[in-house]
Amino acid sequence: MQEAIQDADIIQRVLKGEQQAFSILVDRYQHFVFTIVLRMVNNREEAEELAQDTFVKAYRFLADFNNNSKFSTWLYSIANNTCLSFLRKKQGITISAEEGQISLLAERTGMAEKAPSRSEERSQKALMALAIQKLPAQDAELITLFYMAEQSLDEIGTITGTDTNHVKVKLFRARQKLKTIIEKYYSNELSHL
Amino acid sequence: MIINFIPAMGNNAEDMDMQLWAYIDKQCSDAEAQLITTLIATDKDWATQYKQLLSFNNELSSTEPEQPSMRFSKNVMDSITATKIAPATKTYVNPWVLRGIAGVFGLLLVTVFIYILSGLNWNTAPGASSFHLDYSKMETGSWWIPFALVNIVLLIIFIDAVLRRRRTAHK
Repeated sequence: MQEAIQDADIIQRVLKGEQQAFSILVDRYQHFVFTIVLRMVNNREEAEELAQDTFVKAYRFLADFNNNSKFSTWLYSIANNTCLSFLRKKQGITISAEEGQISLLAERTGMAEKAPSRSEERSQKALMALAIQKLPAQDAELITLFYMAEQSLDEIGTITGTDTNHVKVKLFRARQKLKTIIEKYYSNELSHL
Repeated sequence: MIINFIPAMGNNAEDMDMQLWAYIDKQCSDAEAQLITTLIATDKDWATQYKQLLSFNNELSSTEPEQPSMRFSKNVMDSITATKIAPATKTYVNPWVLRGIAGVFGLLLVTVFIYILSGLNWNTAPGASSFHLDYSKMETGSWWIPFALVNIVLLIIFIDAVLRRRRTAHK
């Protein structure tokens, strides 16, 4: 029944001092925030820390949230900015998100680098997740926002600070890259695609 | 719109993919959607590619999010225990400050405009210059440089504030 409570109502309760109500929002969005962050930094420990930072920032600046956009869109914007700041600090150089260079900065290590073993039994969904992790960070984030977090192209534009048409083109390119990755690494397991 | 749309179709695989993805994402117009529906129904290549992309799209849609650790929610709640909610930005940005800056610039523009108008030569005789400014009245010193710089900085602050407010309002 908790899911039925609207985000806006929960936010009002939190703003009125009911701090514990914020846990409903954390439970509702933690998987999506964690996945978005993980796609960008590709390290579970760092992703967990950054996802927590995202929620703490959202709590601190909750009074600034206006209901002109969905709470999830606002929350994912914070996650996106938190990751970009982290990647910039980590690399110690100034970059522009517009230049599409984030992909070069994120560590594409960990699970993504593990080639699928034929002897291992993997579900189709797990294989798709592995293929997504092989994408450049920005493309993986875009796919995650569109398909898992169910954000529209306009909302993704708001989150990433880019134009909707630009998002549309980038999503198309991301899917093309993903298809290539699947053909290269997972053609046997995902032959129906 | 439709005129530009048709020639792109079938020219190459990427164009076809782009049109089909727009169709799957419901990002094309009604006319474009109708045209693609017809192509899928009548053209074997379009039908095959559509089926493949739709399957790919369904697979992507069914991908599940990653799971953070079991303690994630508790960690966040522990972290915010000592955190206070910051007051909303709009409560501490005084709109009268912005209006004051706008007023100063408005006044400055009107003054300059009036001064230029007063220097105009309304004599329309051939060869007569229609614009004449008496530069001799102006000092040649550099007193105006800091004044101009301060004004430029104020102008930038004002434009930034206006753009931020507009962007926030749009969101």
